[in-house]
Amino acid sequence: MKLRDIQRLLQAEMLSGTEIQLEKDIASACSSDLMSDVLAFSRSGHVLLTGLANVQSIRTANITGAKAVVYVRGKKPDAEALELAKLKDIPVLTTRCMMYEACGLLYQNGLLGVSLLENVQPSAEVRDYNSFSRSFEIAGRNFSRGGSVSTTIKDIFEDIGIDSAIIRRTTTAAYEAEMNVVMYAERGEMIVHVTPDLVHLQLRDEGPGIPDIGLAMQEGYSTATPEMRERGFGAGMGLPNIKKNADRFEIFSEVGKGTRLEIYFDLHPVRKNEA
Amino acid sequence: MKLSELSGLLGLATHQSQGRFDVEVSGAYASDLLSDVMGFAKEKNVWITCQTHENIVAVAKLRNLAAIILVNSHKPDEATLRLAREENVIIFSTSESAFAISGKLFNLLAKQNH
Repeated sequence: MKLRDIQRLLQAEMLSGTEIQLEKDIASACSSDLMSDVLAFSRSGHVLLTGLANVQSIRTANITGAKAVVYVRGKKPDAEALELAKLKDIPVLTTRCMMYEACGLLYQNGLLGVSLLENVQPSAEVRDYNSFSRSFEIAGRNFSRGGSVSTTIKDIFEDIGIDSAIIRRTTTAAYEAEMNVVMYAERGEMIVHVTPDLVHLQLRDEGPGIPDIGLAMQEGYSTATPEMRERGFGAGMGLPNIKKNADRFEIFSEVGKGTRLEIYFDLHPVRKNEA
Repeated sequence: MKLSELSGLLGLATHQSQGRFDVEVSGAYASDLLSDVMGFAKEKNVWITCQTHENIVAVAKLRNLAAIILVNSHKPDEATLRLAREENVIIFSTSESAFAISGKLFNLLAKQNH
């Protein structure tokens, strides 16, 4: 289905984008207002249908490789979100349809969802990279900046030519980890190391710490406030999502001091198996 | 369509069955933003969401919704189940995404109206 078909079926208004972008093929759809769910279950090439109109919707679309974002129930993205969509070249539409009707109309016309079982990670291409290391400050409690480090990292990874499947996994984990710092800590730092063999993300924050890591790792367990939830986070998917995407994941936390995450991604899984 | 028939046709798993399965479903509302559901869901709608925390029970109760369907194999929290049992709010889950289950339900209800 082309984006133009989606526009027609939903009688949607295009808020950003070009005529040429309306010819894009859309492979699947993901509808959610919780960005962790989108990060966990969408597959690149999808259209994101959402009622979440803040900048996190566009950052999530960018990180998951969405080809377009459609806001439902007549919602329009705020200025910051629209600006980012233009910068990232993601077409943005708005429809008066409710989420349920929008999904129903697109499904009826042949667009597919992505189910849990189908959502397997494609294997990575083997390439060589130059080593690279950089540190980024994360401002705690600043929701509107939240995710900006991860989208910057995505741009850098694309520039150095890391395989797109690995970029998706690394930036999804980075984004979840970054949002945890934003939501819970005063400040934090993400250090990114890329070697020819792996990507290593190290996150350190000055936050409240996690009293029971086992509990925090359980899917659905959340200490989020209503504000975090209304912003599309805090569904208790963050840490499990990081673990799911990583090849190795370690977490260290001290109550009252902070939390440190070590997240590793192998760049040459195929080569390693041969050795 | 009655809730009992709908759950059978969609192959939903039942987590909390205290409540009325003979209610005539008026349609559906899909959202993960509780304030949206409070503002826009209609009486006897089924609510499609990935939210599992206990606040969903109060929303379903206050809006007189027919049931809650949790998507992507999400399971209700313990506290959610307990509260739902007290308040007679029926909770289902499905392995389908919100998009796909909305689509299937939309097709089912559209067929029925023709």
